[in-house]
Amino acid sequence: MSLSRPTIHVGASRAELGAARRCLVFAVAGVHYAIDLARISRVVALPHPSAFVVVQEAGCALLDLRALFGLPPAAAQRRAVLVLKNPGGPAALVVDEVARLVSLTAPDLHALPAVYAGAEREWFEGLARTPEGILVVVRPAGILCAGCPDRSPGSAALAVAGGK
Amino acid sequence: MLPRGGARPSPLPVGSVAVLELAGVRFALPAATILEVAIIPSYIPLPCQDPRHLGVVLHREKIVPLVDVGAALGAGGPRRPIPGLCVVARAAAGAVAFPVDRVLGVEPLGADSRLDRLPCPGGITVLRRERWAERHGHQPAAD
Repeated sequence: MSLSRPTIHVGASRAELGAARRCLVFAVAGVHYAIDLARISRVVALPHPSAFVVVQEAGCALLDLRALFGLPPAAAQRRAVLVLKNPGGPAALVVDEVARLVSLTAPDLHALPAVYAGAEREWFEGLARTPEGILVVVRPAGILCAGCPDRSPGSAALAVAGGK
Repeated sequence: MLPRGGARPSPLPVGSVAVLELAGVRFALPAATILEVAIIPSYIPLPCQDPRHLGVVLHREKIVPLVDVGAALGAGGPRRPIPGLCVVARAAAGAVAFPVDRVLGVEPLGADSRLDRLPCPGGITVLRRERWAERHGHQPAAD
């Protein structure tokens, strides 16, 4: 999926998509992650690290997953923002790039190995096997909770409110 | 000793240990717990709080956690040695893989053996004693 079109509106519900779970695949530091498409309201490009991004009519926290995961800052200037539907108000994840859409079914999904017992168990729902490789399936609620400004350095900025 | 390409792992003698080497440190693992020794071509570095947990590997169609035993051995911090040689071992919570530099051999474990048991990430316990360093020599053999 290219970011040449800056905004993607997502409207399909889980019921419309059938039994398969539709997910958006994105990359952070070379690892591919999957997030439930139903949790995403749009995807916008982040032209450079200091850019403001107008995402909703309300303020929206930007959570850089590199910071949350303890990874070094991205070398690439141009990154992507996933704007999430969130009961507590819109929130956005900064990722390196958006890769593709994928349909995951129950046999594709695997629990995190038991040795993982830290915060990662909140961040990640499990792992998915696909023909293209293993995807890490994120748990949006756990990531947003971990990224609350009073709990993590991952919440980097506030986006500008008021645009469409 | 190194089943590859779909070969079934050979059973190892009960009551024996496999002597392994990582970063110049010799240690052992009960041979009965070793499922396989294999070249792991790649891994997924799963972000986590414990740096000893390196990620996961896909091995024989199974997702297996990859851990680093180097810190428990005093062999240094986490390594990123993949692709490379890994031991896949049976632990309480299932199979666990960990990188090693070499597999030196398998030897019987005597009843009078005095062993240091070192808990490692992933629920595996490795064994250490000086004799392994003496028996297998101090100079690493050519790969």
